[in-house]
Order: sequence, then C-alpha cells, then structure tokens
Amino acid sequence: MMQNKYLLLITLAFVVVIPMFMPPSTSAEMLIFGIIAVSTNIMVGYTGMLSFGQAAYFGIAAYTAGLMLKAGMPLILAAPAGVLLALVTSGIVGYFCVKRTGLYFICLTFAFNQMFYFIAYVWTDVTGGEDGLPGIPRPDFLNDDITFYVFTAVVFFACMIAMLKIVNSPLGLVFKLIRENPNRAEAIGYNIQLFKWFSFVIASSFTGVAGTIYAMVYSIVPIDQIHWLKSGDIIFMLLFGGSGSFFGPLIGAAAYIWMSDTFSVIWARWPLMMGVVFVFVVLFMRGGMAELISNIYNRFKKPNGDPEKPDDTSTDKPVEVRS
Amino acid sequence: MSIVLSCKGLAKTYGEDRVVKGVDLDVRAGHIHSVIGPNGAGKSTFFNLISCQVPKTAGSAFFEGQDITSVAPHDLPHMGVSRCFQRTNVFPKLTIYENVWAAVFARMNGGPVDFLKTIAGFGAVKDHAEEIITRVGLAHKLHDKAETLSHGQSRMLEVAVTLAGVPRIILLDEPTQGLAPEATHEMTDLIKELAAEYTILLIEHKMHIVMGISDVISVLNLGEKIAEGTPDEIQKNQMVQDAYLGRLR
Repeated sequence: MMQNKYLLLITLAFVVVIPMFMPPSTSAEMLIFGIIAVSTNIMVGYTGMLSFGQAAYFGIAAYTAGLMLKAGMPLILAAPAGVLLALVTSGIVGYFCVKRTGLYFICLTFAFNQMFYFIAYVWTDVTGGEDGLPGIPRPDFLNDDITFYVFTAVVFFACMIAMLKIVNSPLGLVFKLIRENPNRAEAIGYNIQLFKWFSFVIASSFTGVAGTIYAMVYSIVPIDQIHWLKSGDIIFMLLFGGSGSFFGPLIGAAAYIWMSDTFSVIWARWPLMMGVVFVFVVLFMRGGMAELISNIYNRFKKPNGDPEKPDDTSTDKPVEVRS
Repeated sequence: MSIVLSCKGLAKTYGEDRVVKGVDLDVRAGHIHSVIGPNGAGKSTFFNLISCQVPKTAGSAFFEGQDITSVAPHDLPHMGVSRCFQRTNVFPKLTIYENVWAAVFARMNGGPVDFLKTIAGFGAVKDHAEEIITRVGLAHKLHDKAETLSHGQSRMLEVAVTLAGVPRIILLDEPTQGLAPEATHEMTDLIKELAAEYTILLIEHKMHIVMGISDVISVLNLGEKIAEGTPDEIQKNQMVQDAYLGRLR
C-alpha cells in the first residue's frame, strides 16, 4: 500500500510536468488513455480476460456525451449519460461474453466491437458516419485548454483512486483468483461468471468515463475511435506498460500517445514502428516497462542482494491471459 | 449415527461408456468413509459427480437432505460441502495467506458491500485464516507465494483452502498422492485430527492409510460398488481380494 502511495505521487508529478512539454490537448489525451489502459487492465491483467472490444464502450460513451453536448445539454447530464450507456451496453454484451472463455471470449468481444462500429458507420444522421461526430462544444468553464487539462487530471485521479481501491478490495482478490485458477475459485464458493461480469462492466464503465472526456478534447469523435483497431491499441498499451502491475498500463498509454503525436507527423507509416516495439516487448520484456523499471529499482535498492530475488512489495506478476 | 451424505443410484455415462453405474452409498456423521478401487474403477468420476464438477446421467446425492448434484459448483461450499482436489489446485501467484483468506471470505462475507471494503478490515476472517494456516503447519510461510511451496506443502495448503470453507463434510481426493513418507505421515495425522470435527469422504490409493484410518470402506470396481464394510471386513472379502487387493499380492 505504501508503494502505491509513492507511485500515485510519481503519477501526480508526471501529470503536473507533461503540459510543460506537450500541448494541453495531447497531455489530456494521455490521461484519458491512461484511464482506459488501467481500467482495461482490471479485466485483462487482474481477471485474465483478454478483450479486443473495449473501444466499443469508449466510443459509445464519447458519441452519447458528444451528441448531448451538441444538443445543448449540460456536462453534468451528458457525462453521466455517456458512462451509463457504456455501463448498460457492457452489461448486456458482458452477459453473453463471460459465458465463454479463451479464444471464444476474445472473438465475442471483437465481434460486438465491430457490430457497434458498423452501427456508428451506417447511422450517418446521428453519428456522422465515416466523418465522425464534429462540432462538440465544451462547457464555458472548460473552454480554456489549461482549465480543461486540470479538469481531465481531476477526473483521472478520481478514477485512479477508485480503481486502486477496487483492485485492493476483496473484489480485486476474487478477480485474481479467477485469473489464477477459475475452477478452484468456483470450488471455494465464488460465482465466477458473475465476478467476470463485474470485471467486464467495471472496466468498460471506467473506459466510458474516459470516452465522455475524449469527446471534448478535439471537439470531435472520429469513427476510428470505436473501431476494433483502437481496442488493439489499448492491448498494446497494456503489454508495453506491463499488465502485471496497476500503474504499468499508464506508461503504455503515455508512450502510445507520445509516439502517435510525435511520429505520425513525420512518417505516415509510423504504426510500423509500433509493430516493431510490440514484437520486442512480447519477445524480450514480458512484464513490459513496469517490470523493467522494477528490476532496475531493485538492483539499486539491494546492491548486495540477489538480483533474481523478487521484490517483496510487488503484489502482481505478468500474467498468462487465460480468460 | 445419522446419515449426512446419501447417494442413490448415482450414474455417469460418456457415450457408450458407463463409468459410474448407479452407486448407492451412505456416509454417516463423524465417520471417515473411504472409497477405494483399482485404477479406472470410477472413483474420481464418482467424486466429481458429488462435487458438481461433472453433470450426472442419473441418480442423486443428498447432503443433509438437499440434492447436491443439481446445484451450481459455487453453491456447494455454501451448503457445507468442501472438496480437496487430487491435483494440487491452489492459486500459485497469490500468497498462502491470500489463498486461505479468499476461501474463508467466500463463506464469511456479509454481502455485496463487503466486497468493496478493505481486506485488512475483516478481523474475524484474518483470525480464522491464520488459525487454519497454523493448523496445517504453514504459519512460517504466511506471506510466501503458493508457487514457491514444495509439493508436500502445496498439499497442506490445498487442505487448508478446503477447511477454510467451514465445511460439515470434506471430500478428500487422494490427499497423500506424491508425498514423501514423512509428509504422508503428517497428512495422515492431520486427517485423523480432522475426523474429530468433520465427516470425511476419502479417496486414497495407499492401502495402509485407508485400512488404518477409515471407519467404513466402500469398494468400487468397473463403476459398481462391490463391497462395503469396516477395514477388517473389506480385507477378508473374497470379491474385493479378487478385484483389487488380490491383484496387488
């Protein structure tokens, strides 16, 4: 727990520093994808359910909030409505998905994601179709970019603290039991389908929170934000940052946004670079950046100790996704 | 003594293969009731039927009057039935304490709200978990990950997780499998000690253990119950000798 407090402080320092090096909107985007990566990790890293469909709930919340803001409704209504719709949709989709495991689970999340994508694609009158949903106004008090960034940071920290509380609660422990050994978890008395569903809905709802803010960053929801490739990007963030730790995915999200922001203007084929990084991480850095940093930290902390000895304070290790 | 677990015509068929052929079996309160039989006799399938791991083809098993073969596996511990698995089946990346804590919490939580509280806030769950860990001799490993345990210690953890469910009957599936003689001795002592508090249904291959600790033994052969009685009676039973013990000689 002590370690988590330090990591939260480091995150706070990072949040304060990034707008000094990047435009506030890019910085806000980093925090938004930070929420998505950490929340998706509750499902992937903690519960062992690999989803390729999280962009759906991000998109649903973003479209809902965007449409309501465009209709002149206040943020206090639009934001909860976006999150609620993400929650309800993920509740329905999750109900079907958690009935299956492994490859079938992955395929179901993917299929539902694409279903929502095609709905957004063809429902041009409402969603703007291929052009996306432009012209989303920000509330007056968020018109200034720095104020908007501060607002995003506050929501980001509220989400981080809430998710940290969840993963450290008995609920979080049950998620880990399911990841480790679902049959045994069931045999000691936990209804694993119900808990998998909770994990699915919790992860998707926090992703929805991120979606509602995203709608206001550039005042547009591009159609590709609901495409399954975005779900793939989220998984990249988890693996790059490290799905074995709570804070690891934040590193992945920040790196992804930084790379897309920096390299996309230089080279149109920049995702190729991401592919190379991905291959490198999967082959040589199974625990992602979080494990790399943790190993370096341990070497400095115990210069005379056995470098192979795991850090006693770490609660998680990179996991095999079993769903 | 009253009958706590009663199986009536319990059967399992895989295609043409009748693995368990209508077994009747009564387990009395406070007994160590062992189920033995040669390889392929259907013992594990019989156990899986009672613990809802596989769906039955016919028959029923009643625990304290309630049919336990048609409930969800996760409801079974809440009815007072805990199962220890043949293959060591704990949560490898979690600590010994977390393994047992989670099993105690499964039975002792007060409702949905408890799942969102802090783990440290459940004093009674902590005390009970620590008591069980001490009982199986793993107190010195409290905060070690389960994957670091030896095979013998893992078997003890498996029993600890089973006990954590506050059961009234324990189903033990070959608890001494793969254990060194010293560890087997410790496990046998623990089972004897547990018999004072719980009813135990045991599957075990090691004959000297079964004969030494059982009150009643049922013998399965080719999916059928061919004999039942005290260890003395079973040892003298000609049919059992032919089917099982006889072959060992």
